[in-house]
Amino acid sequence: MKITGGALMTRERAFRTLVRRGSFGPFADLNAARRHLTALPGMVSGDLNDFGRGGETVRRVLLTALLAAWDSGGALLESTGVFGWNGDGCVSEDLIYWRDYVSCGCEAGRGGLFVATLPTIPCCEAAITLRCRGRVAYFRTEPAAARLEELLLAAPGGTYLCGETTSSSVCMLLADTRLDGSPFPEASALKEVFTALEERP
Amino acid sequence: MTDAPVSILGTAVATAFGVTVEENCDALLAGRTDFCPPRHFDARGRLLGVDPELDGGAGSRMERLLEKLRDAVTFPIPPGTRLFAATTVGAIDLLERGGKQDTVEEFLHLAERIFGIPGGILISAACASGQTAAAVAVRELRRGSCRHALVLGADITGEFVTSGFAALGALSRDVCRPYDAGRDGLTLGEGAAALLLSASEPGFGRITGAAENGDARHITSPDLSGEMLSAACREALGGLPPDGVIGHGTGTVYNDQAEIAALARLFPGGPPPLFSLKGNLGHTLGATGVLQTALGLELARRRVLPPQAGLRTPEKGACVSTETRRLGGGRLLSLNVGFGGLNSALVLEAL
Repeated sequence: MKITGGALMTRERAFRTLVRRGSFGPFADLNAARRHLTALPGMVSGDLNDFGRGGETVRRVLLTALLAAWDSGGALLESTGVFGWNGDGCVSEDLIYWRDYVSCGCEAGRGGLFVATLPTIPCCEAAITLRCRGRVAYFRTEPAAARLEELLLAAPGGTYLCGETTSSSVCMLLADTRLDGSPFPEASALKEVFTALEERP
Repeated sequence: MTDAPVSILGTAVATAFGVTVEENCDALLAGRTDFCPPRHFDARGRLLGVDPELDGGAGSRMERLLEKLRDAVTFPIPPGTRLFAATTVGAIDLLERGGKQDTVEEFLHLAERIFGIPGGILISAACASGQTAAAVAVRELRRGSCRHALVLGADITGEFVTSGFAALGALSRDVCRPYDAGRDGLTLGEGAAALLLSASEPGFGRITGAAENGDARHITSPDLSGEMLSAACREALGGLPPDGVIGHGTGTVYNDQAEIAALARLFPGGPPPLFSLKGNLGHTLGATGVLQTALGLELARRRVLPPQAGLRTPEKGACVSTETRRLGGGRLLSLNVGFGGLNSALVLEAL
C-alpha cells in the first residue's frame, strides 16, 4: 500500500501537505481558508455549493480532503472509497443536536443537525464534493494505525481517502492499496502517521 | 486473498418477536407486527417497533438489548474470534440522560464486555452499518486476519433518534408500508442480531458476495435512478440471479423508489420476489443488515418469502405480495441503504 497524498489541518486552521510539502495559513476562518485553497494552481474541482450546509467538522474535513486530493496530483478516481477512523467521531454533533432539540422542542428542532450526528456524514460530504463513489464507512478500533492499515488491505484493491477528525486537527491520507509501499509507521493516530511520513526524505 | 464464500456457522436475534431465529421467521410469515407507543419516552403519539422487555433498569437500554442477544446465542464462540460491531447511534440513551457522550464507543465497550471479546471493531455506515460490518468481516476472514468473526448489529429506540427523523419529516403518520404505493414514511424499531462467520469451516449457510458503494449525490436522499445500488447488487451477485430479495424497504417514498429502480435496472425482464422486514419490526437502523442476514438465511432455508406487512397497493415495479411466496431456491440478495447515499448488497445462500 502506498500513500499518494495527504493533508493535515491544525487547530490554528493551518494546513500542510505530504507529497508537495505545501504549507498554507493559518487562516482567520474556514471561509478564508476555502478562498485560498480553492485558488491554488491545479486544485481539483470539487462541488462546494453546499459548503455552508455542514457544521464546522464537515467544513474542516471538506477542505482537508480537497487539499489531500490536490497533494496526490489531481482528481480522484470515481471508485475511491472514503473511510473515517477513530478521532472524536460525532460526539460534538450529537451534543449540538440534542441541546438544540431540548431547547427548541421536537417539531422546531433542526433536522439538518440530526443528519450530522452520524459519524459517516463528514466522509459522505467529502465523497459528494470529490465525486468519489466507492465504499464509505467509519471505523472505531484500538488506537493503532496498523489496525487501520489492516482494514484497508482487506478492502478491495483501490484508492481510499482515510480521515481522522479531532477537535484540534483533521488528517486525511490518500492510500492506493494496489501499489507497493512502506507499512504505516507505528502510531496511535493518523496525525502521527502523517508527521512520521513528513519526516521521511 | 480469494473471493471464496464465507460460511455462516451461527445466527442469533433479539427482537420483540423473541430470541430465536425460528420464532422470528414464524412471526414474519404470520404477518405479525410489533408496533406500539413506547413506554420509555414520550413519542408524541407515534407508534414504534418497541421491545417492551428492554424497559426499566438503571443502565443503558442498549446494555439490556445486547444481554438479551447474548442469551439468545446458542452456538459456541471460539477463542480468538474477532468482533465486528455495527450501530448507528449506539447507547444513545446515555447521552439523553446527560451521561456518556461518546455513545458509539460505549456501544463497542458494552459489546466487548458482554460477549467477552476485547479488541473489537466498530463499523458505522448509517443505516447500511449492519451489512457493511458483515462485508468487512467477510474480507478480513478471506484475508486470513482471523479464523472466526462475530458480526453484531444493534440499535435501540429513543427520543434522540425519533425526534431527529421527525424533524426530517421521514416518519410515517401511522405505521410504515414498505413498497406500497401509498407509503408515507418509516417506523423506527429496535433489535439486535449476530452472525458467526468462518472462512475455513462448513456452516449451514454462506455469504457468497458483498459489495458497497456510494451515490455521491445527496446527503440524505438516495439516487432515484438506482444506478449505484444496482451496481453494488451486480458486483455482489457475480452473474448469478437470486431467488428473492430482502430489501431495505423503509417505507419512505424515496428509499423504496430507489430500490425498485435499482432492481428494475438489474432485472429488466422482471425483478425477483421482494420483501422488507421493516413492515413487521420497523427500521432497526444499524441492526437491520444483520437481522436481514440472520432471518433471511432461515427464510432461504425454508424457501419462502413472507407476506409484506403493511402492503395494500404494491408500488409499480415492486414484486411484493400480501401472500407468502415459495422460492425456487435458497439464494437471497439483501440490500441496505444509508444516509449519505451509501449502498450495500449482500448475497447469502442456505445450504
